[in-house]
Amino acid sequence: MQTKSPPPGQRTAKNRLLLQDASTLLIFALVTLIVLAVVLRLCGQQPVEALGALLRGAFGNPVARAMTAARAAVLTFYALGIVFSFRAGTLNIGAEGQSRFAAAAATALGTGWASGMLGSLGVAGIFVVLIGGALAGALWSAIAGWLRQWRGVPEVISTLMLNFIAIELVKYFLTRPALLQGPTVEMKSAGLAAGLQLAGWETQFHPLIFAAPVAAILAHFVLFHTASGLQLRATGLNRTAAKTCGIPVERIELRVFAIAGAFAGLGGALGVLGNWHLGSVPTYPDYGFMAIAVALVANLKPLQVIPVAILFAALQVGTQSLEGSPGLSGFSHYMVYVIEGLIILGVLARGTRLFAEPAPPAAAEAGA
Amino acid sequence: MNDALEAIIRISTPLLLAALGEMLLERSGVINIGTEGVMMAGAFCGFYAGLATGQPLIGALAGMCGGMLLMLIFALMTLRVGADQIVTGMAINLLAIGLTGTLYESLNTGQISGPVFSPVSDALRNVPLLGPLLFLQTPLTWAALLLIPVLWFYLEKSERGMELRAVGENPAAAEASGIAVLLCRWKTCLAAGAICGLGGAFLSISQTASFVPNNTQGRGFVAIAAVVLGRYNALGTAAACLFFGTAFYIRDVLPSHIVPSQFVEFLPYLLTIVALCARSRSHSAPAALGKPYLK
Repeated sequence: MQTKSPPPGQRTAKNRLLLQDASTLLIFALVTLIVLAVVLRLCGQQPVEALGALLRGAFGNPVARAMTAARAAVLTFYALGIVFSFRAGTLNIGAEGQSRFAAAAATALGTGWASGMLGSLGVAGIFVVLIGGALAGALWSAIAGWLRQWRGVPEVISTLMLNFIAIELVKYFLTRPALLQGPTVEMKSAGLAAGLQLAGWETQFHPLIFAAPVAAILAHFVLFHTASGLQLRATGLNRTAAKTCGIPVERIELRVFAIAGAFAGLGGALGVLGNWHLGSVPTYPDYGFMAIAVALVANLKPLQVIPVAILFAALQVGTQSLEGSPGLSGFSHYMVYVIEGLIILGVLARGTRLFAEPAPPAAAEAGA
Repeated sequence: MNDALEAIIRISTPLLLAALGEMLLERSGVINIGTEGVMMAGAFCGFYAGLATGQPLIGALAGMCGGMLLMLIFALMTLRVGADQIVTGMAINLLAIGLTGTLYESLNTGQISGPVFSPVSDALRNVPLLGPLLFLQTPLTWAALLLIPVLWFYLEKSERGMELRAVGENPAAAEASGIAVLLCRWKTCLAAGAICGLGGAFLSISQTASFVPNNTQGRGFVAIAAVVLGRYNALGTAAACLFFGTAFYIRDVLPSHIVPSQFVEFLPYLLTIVALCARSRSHSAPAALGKPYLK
């Protein structure tokens, strides 16, 4: 046992690293609060009062806490997919489209000819719908991966374009009664079969959201403590070198596209299951873009994704509650976008290298 | 027929301006997927400056300034800090929708309408072909149409344009031959900001007389598609914009059961992917596109 534990020098390096991570997150929370206060001030609010109201809106009562937790879970799923993508050096920014396509697939399963059977299966039926969503997301994402291998199409452009194609395609599905359109005229699917409707319709809070932190821990384990995780990161750090070492980079990249799509698909399917139907605007719109900010702020580390996702979810829920509250008339939900944009710029300005880790962590991990 | 021609050119104008600006930028090796945001800033600044002064021309200038302001942030991040261009572009989009939305709601002007450009010459509306194509259009459309040959000449024939292309193809070699790479990219960023901003301003001071948040409705992304489809040159990009403009016009006039409007909506994006597949061997994209360059 003595020989296996890292030498003291590396252990302190690791501790320092943990401390560094924790302090970065704290600084980010603080910076977010300060930015928020400034924006609120500019909108003619009392920053302290408004911030208090925002925090109460996100955490102040059981309903708010449930809403924040549910959104944080979905954001965690999306962001984990992005962490995998960026770690492998593929700039997959298509979570939004993948999740929407997956949501359509989940709706098809939950309202189509198989819905009665799935509904009678109970929990197993819910899992089938989730897996169907994940598969659909993986498939949609794999298109970009495949285009990259086949024709060298840059995934940045293809995933971006596939986002919009998915959005419009799902809208089309929702206008055709033969496909997804429900009995109502508006762009809305029929309700899910009774057995598939997750509890907590108002907050979308249900036991399934606890799968998100579990997934983050699993992702951490896979990325940092398995051979395939090492290969994946090696591919992202230096593709040519990895290839020279005999790592099957093409296969890894394609797999990462599918993994990212599956994570986004899980989130999309969860949105449908929690909301009992699919509308033209999904349950969690634009979370696919927001998740990029989450993954970046989390420094592409799965475990850090959880607190960052909670922070972002709180921001969403809090601003939603502020918008309706009396006495805060100047408050607008658009502010969330400003804050997200500034946070991303802040992360970038900090000098985060997307595809290469700063030297100390790489050295520490190599020794561990 | 005249109406159709007039409408197609009108619909294509914001696409043209945005795509030409983006094309210029991409030729210098910088890709900005925040074109949508830059257009939003242009639409916002253009509308409110026009409203304040009553002059659409001031609005147009303000729209250009608004676009440049956002591109200043973009250039700072990508050229000075060396941040990833794609992620910065996404942040620019978020900032633009957030800032314009927040300011719009706090200004609380509601459905007020501002000044608009009037057609160049209503008297000449019946001139065959030129009437709907030119005389019924506003000066902003003229600017957009004029920009096509100007940019083409600048990029393909002038020495400055050749330098810009060199910066986009091989910045290190360009630097070695005495071209200031970063300076060139800074200038291009600001120029692209002005052009895209004007494209956004067209929406709020020419096509309509009002501003609502997110009135760009994805045109910035269509513009990016047009650049790829137009093979990164002015004439091709313009042709792609006119093609998309025609498609959008057809969508607007045809009943939706013949051509589902969603199919027209995603046509530009689908065609972009197809174009990228088809042209993978000829490599018309600038070689250094998207790669940060730091001295």
